[in-house]
Amino acid sequence: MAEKGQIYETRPLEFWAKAKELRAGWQQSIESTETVVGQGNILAIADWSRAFPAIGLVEDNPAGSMIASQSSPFARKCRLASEIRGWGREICGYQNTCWGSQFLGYQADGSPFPYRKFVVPIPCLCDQHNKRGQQVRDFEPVPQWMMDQCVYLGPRDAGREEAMIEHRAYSMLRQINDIERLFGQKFDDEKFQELLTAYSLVDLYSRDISTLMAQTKPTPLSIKDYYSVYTLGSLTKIDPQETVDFWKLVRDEVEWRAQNQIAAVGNERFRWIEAHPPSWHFLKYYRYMESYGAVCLGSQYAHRVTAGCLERRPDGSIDRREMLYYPKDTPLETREDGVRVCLTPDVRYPHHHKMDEYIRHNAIVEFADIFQADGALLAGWRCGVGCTLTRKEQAMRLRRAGYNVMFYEGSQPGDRTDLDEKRFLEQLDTWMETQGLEKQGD
Amino acid sequence: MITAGIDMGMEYVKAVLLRDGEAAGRGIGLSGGARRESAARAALEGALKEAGLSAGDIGKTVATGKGKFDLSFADKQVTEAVAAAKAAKRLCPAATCVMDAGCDETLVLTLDGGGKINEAVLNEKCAAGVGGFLQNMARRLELSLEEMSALPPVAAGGATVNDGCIVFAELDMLSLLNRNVPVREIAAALTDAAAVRVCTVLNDVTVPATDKVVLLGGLAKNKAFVRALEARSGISFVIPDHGEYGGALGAAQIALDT
Repeated sequence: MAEKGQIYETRPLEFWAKAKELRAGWQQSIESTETVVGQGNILAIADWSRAFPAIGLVEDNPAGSMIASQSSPFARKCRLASEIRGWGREICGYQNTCWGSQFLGYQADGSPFPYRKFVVPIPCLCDQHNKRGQQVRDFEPVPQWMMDQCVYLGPRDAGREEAMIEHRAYSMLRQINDIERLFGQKFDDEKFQELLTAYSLVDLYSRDISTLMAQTKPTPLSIKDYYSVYTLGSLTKIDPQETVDFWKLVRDEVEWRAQNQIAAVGNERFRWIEAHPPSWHFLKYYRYMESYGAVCLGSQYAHRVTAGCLERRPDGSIDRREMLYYPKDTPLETREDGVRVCLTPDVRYPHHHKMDEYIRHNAIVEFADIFQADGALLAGWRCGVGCTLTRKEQAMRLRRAGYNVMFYEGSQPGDRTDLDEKRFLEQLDTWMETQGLEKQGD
Repeated sequence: MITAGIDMGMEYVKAVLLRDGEAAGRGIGLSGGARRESAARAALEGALKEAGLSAGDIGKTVATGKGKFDLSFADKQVTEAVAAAKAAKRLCPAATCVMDAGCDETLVLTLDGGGKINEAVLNEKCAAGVGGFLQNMARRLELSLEEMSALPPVAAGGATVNDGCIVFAELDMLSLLNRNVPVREIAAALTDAAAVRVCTVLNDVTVPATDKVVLLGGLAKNKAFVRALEARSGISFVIPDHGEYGGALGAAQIALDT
């Protein structure tokens, strides 16, 4: 039976069950790795560590946000544990919470913290993210490998790019050799090729999904649902083929919904975007906005690259943003090939927030345009300050382009310390009512 | 038809009655944030008495303000922004912007010719409580808010307090007291800091309206604050009589219109 205010047909997502299964499998992989430490299994921070079959992967971001979601009192305890070791509120909540759990030695459910046996922080210009590795190493003497983050902001220069790729490739190959030597682990080259192929397919499927979300009214998938599967295969370590099959399943279902006008939100009347990851512990705000018929389409962050995966071409058409990946016709046969494929997008398309004036300041307006948004909700967090750098400027640009903007503050993605739930929801009420929208069912 | 608008503010609850669209009565009750329902009844009783009406005469009641959902007898709730816009257009049909500065929130709206809200900007939490902040500071200076509001201006270049954080501002105030700086200078510095915080909200609007800007809310009554705000913003505000009843008036008008 249709609910009051419903305009479009909606249905539950069928890929849900598989998503839950994969998520549970990832959690289990961490737990089982922990139980056999000393028998060759190692926990690490390094995305390509997936090609070491016996290495488990524990990333700060999902670990921190999980803790914040599971137990606010425990998250508070974690933050204090981190703070007394000198990590202040300028540190992103993901990290502070995860590190606190490490310092305490246990997780929210009382189980032991899965200590890392080595660290390879992902090179990142973003504030404190490079500290991820440092604090693990400072805590106990584990090896840390660090890659240079090559950055060049001038006009494209093929020769310079090649030199940067080679510099980083050398660094990464050395790390792999070191890890093999120190930990007696075999880097599985075949698995590595398999992973890279899988990533490129997942990337294609996810771009299809983004396109369908952006270009279909009503959107067949809300960001609330998309985030539920977002990390599967990226921040989590699961089987490459299973990952590809899953993303194809999601893409096919979203495509079918788009073709059949099956809406994510049956009363879609207002489309809005963000500029950041959400407050993972307070996803309620998405559903709250849906009560006004307002559906969130996500952020540039959510759609794989900071500039957004779609772009408006000079002739006015919308197409996939051209990415300068490693040449597609290059054979992917050796470890060196694979390493270069891994590194090339980073070097050629420095996607981090502060690298490109266009991306940071202007791309959000293009994103709002392509996703057919009516407005934007921007965050003004008090911690992890880099995350909200230039938000006010973005708001001004969006407003000048005709998009309605509301700010909220207080709750980082991985830390609910400053969340004032009542005030936040009241701000959403104000935003919606000033847009002439009322809650459905009121 | 008799309609009632009740603004369930953090510090005071205000009630306005309209009789066939004309203001018939006003009432106010002190809630202190925790006694909103009883304050609302007191405010409404005051308004009914002034209008010579009884509760049974009221056809529709609309609530607004932070405690709008606490009012058990309201027929409808609207956000402060919608109520303020409605009040501003009623009080000043040519209004292009309205600022509602109260105890705990500052709100700036730009309006089109028909009263539709173009932009709505709320204060950051650090700037929250400007009204409440001044009230607390007056108490620390052993003044009433009315006395603090009525203090004459002081010469430029006097005492200053932090205008980015009201906690720091309070510490600065204690330091100034400790240095025997005259109370009226400290009061002026605190008022100016509050004006600066409120200006940050005003500055957040993309196309600032400098003409026909209506000032509503409790702070509209504070002469020293208005003087500081006008100096800081360069805006000469339209300050209606009984501007502190703006939210309640807007709510009563919405009750009539819907």
